[in-house]
Amino acid sequence: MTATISVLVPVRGEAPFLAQALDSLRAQTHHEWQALLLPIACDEAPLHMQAATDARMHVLGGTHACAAGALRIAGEQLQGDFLCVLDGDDLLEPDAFAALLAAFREHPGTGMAYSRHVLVDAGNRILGAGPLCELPYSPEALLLDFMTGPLQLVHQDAYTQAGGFSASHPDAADYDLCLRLSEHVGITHVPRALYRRRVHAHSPAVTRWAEQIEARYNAFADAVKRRGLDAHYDCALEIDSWHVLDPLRPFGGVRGLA
Amino acid sequence: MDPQVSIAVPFHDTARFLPAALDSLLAQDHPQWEALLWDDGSTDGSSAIAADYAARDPRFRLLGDGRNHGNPHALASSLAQARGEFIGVLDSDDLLEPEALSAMLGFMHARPMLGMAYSQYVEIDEAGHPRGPGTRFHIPYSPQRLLVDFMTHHFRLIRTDAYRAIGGYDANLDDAADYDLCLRLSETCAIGYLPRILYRYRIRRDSISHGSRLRQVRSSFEAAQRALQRRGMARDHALSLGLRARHVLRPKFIAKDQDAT
Repeated sequence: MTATISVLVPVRGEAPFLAQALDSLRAQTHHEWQALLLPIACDEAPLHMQAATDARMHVLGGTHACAAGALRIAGEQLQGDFLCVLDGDDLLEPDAFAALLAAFREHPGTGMAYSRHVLVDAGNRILGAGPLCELPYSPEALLLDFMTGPLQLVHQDAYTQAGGFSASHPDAADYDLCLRLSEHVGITHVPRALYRRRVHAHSPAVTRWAEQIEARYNAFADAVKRRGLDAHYDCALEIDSWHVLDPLRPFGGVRGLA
Repeated sequence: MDPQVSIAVPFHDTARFLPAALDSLLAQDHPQWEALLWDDGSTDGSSAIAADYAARDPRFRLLGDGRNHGNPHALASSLAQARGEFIGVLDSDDLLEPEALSAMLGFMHARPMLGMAYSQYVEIDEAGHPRGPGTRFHIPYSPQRLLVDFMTHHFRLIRTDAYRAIGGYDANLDDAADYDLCLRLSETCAIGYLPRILYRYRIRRDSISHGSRLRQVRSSFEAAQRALQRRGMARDHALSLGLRARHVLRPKFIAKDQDAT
């Protein structure tokens, strides 16, 4: 029997990129998936219209204040063999599910597989490789750098074993889950960019970067305690910041153009 | 004797450090100053310390309604009552060198076109021991460079007219009020640099939480963005914020038995 993937799709605001996100889901070479759209502080009606176009798509009723809360609720209702989060702004490569599922078959004992990703702008132009995703993974390295995101395929048993999404660090729910998974199950890296993360003015990475940094640090400090490392180590957060002033470049920003 | 310089000293629960700060004012070799001691809702005995200094020397003026409004509000409100020709700020956990006021006044009197001058500073630890010279002042000042680097750090002396002309500290800001003020001053008047160490800046272990450190980064960036708009530079220039946040595990210090030899 083919494995079924439950795809959670948090959707925020006007959701201008949702149709593209769902198209990338429909284009998967692995067809056995169910999608649950999660309205985060936004109007539900457009989501129902989108869901009506495909029998595999549903909407988690009632709008939710934050993605972490919605993910937790949705996680409790899952019926698939695997769980995956596709942000309503982002895109999957067509063979994303197939490649991640292959990693589970090739590496027995895997509870979660993750891939590399690229950053794209509102016009789908590739801005560059996702930060950190090429760093080598280990449960210890994950304490310092969040290299296992944003595309993760998690086995349902592993998800349950790790305690699922938690609302304790709402701005770092994915990192917090990965840390707990890394304490229970094997994690396999697929060294291919299978996900396109969109960077735009209203994305949480832009509007809530400070909250994300603080939440990730708190999730890290919790993991250090859970692992008993706090007997020998103190946690700290080092922050460097700088302003960069650049001339605006006409003609697509090619340096050297007069 | 009319004060020539008004130094704002807002304080909020700094009883451990306040006497050293106020003593450094008493030790100035220039006597014509007033200190605007603004109690920003202290509950640790700082208020009694300030009252004690005010009772001993009338140059200390006790201000504030005893409630906590935040540092920018305290600065704006206390400096609104400044009587000196020049104003400055002494953080209540820091210290001035004895010649701070005389040196800065001499520097500015010799350069009437300056609206503000700033000096060098050293960093000290909680016990007051020097940690080393500051680094910000090594970056050469220009109004443009101030958009990316805050080099006009302590100690600053500002001509009161120049301060009032730009509306003074913005009491509505939560963080980065000093940077915002310097940016606005740099748009209306000349700023000079006196390469002498005149200020001791205390680095405290409990200084600020991660949340407030991050808010400060955000507020500073927003202040620079506002400046870019005010200066009409936003049409041709873009400011971006670079950021690196690192999780660090530090081995705990294990006290070893001292070798008695």
